[in-house]
Amino acid sequence: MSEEKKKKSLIDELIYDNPVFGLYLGICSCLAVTTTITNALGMGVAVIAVLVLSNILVSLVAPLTPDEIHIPVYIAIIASLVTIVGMVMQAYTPSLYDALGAFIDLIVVNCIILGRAEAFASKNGIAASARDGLMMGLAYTLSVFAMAFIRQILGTGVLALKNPLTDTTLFSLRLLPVGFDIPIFTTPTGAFLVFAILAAAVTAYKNSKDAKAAAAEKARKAAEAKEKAAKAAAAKAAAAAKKAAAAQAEPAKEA
Amino acid sequence: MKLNFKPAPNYRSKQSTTGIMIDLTLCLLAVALFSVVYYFKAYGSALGTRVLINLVATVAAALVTEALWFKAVKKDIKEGIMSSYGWVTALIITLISSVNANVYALIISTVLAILFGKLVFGGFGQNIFNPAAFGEAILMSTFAATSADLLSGATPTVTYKGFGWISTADQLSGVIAQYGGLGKMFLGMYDSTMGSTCALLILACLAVLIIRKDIDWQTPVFYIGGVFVISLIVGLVRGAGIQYALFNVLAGGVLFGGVFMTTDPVTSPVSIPGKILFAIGAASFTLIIRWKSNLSDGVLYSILLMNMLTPMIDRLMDGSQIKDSGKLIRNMLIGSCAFIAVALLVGIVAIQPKKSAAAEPETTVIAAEALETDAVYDTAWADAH
Repeated sequence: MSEEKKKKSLIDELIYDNPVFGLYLGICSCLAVTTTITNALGMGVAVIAVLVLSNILVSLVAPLTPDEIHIPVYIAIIASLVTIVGMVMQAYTPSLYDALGAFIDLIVVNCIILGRAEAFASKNGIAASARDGLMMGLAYTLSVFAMAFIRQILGTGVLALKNPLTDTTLFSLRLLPVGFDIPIFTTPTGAFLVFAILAAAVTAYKNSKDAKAAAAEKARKAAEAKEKAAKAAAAKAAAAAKKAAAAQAEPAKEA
Repeated sequence: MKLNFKPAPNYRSKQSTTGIMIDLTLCLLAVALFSVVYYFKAYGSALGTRVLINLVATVAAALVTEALWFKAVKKDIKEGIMSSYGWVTALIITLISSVNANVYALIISTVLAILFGKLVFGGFGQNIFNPAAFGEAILMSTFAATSADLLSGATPTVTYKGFGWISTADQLSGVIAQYGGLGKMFLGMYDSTMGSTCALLILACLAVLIIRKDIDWQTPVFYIGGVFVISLIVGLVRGAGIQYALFNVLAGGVLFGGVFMTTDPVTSPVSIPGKILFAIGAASFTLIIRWKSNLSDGVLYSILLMNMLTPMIDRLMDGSQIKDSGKLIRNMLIGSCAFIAVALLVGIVAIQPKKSAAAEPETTVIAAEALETDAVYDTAWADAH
């Protein structure tokens, strides 16, 4: 029972509270890095690393930080982490670093990271903050991966994944015949289209789920009310019966 | 009092939207028939059937897209399709494309145009951009590499782009002679985008549509007239003569776009002064794009740009049509003069004739040069406006 509940909340966290399609945060990088799944996964890993570490550090320093300067402090923490991640990527995955370009540095101003620092990490403990960072990072990675998956297949016809450490192609799969690719999906226009489709799909999913939950809630309330009414009726009947019994008893007493 | 709320186009006349669209469809079919006959006669059955396939495939793609959409949003499919007029979009996209256009590219462009240009905005009457122009922009900007190479000759706009759209009268005469003279260009007996060649037929369609009160005469007349007058002034000042103005109107998609695309009631302004301002703005943009951009023709993007400005024009022309007519006409005149002034300034001062192409006015050389100036757009495609 509790296991299932936990599982459900995991999916909820990934889809319901999805930073990209649910909260519309961090869209800019989402549009830019989703040309191939390799870039998307690389960006996702970088964001996860920054998000987890920044959430941990922010939750540590939050009690010591005066309220007036908390945003500069958080930004300094995040910027240092992004610089570290960028340098590590430059050292070990140079091709990925080149492909992502300025968007690695721009993780600093990615709304998801400062948003989670502000909204969650500054008010919660280390373990909870780290978990929140991981979940948000995974949700971001899932979003960019979904976008890159669609864009790469439709735009180039080939789904290919590279190992950024060694620059070897792990697999390359042609899914559309030659000449049947739709190059608009490799352009920013295509990114907007795919983003809009996915955001609409997530919203539709949420709406249907909300409607279902509302219907279930209504049914539960109706059942409760019915039960209450039945109880009240029963109580009334019992009271009436008591009265009747008392009334019957009275003449007997008189007699 | 009973108030009716429904999306544009709202008309006071008895002519219904369906009636307008039927007339428009018949006119487009006439233009399509002309191009089928032309390609059958000029190039035999291979190209003739190709035109037919392109037309049928795009119309089918449009209808299927709409059927799937109305099924997905749980509306009556037949009623939805009949009140959405997707086939008009499909026909226009095919007719303003070259016969070289890949069928697959045409289908995808039509589907994206119907879906993202019209249906996601709420369907017919709610879209911001002319769906056909939207689809053609997708076709031109992303499918340039996949066009089939059936006709090697460059279209008039591409050829003249090689001269930078301005040149001496001799060079212009050479280009016109290459397509059989202005008379043949008027009759449409040359290769260009499929539907936009026969000026006579398009003008006949214009007359029919105006007489049957399907469209207001102001938009096409001021659009085509605007292109003519501005290019006439530029042609006279730059020494290319009156044939420059005639060439500017006949070559490319000015007539087709003016009759079938600027008149779209959904994406053009509501008031008559607004329509005039819209048409003159589009005419100015058409010429500015021809002169200064990498594209060989500017009809398509000028219409899309003016679609974007339509809400602003409507706001500028806000007010009672009868009570504030002085103010509306003043706004219209100021706006139109501004557009024309910019176009004339660009035409007279800024454009430079290309001397190098003038030395050897061979199609292939010019096409190669046009490719040089524009790596992104294939020459044959760029002509599609």
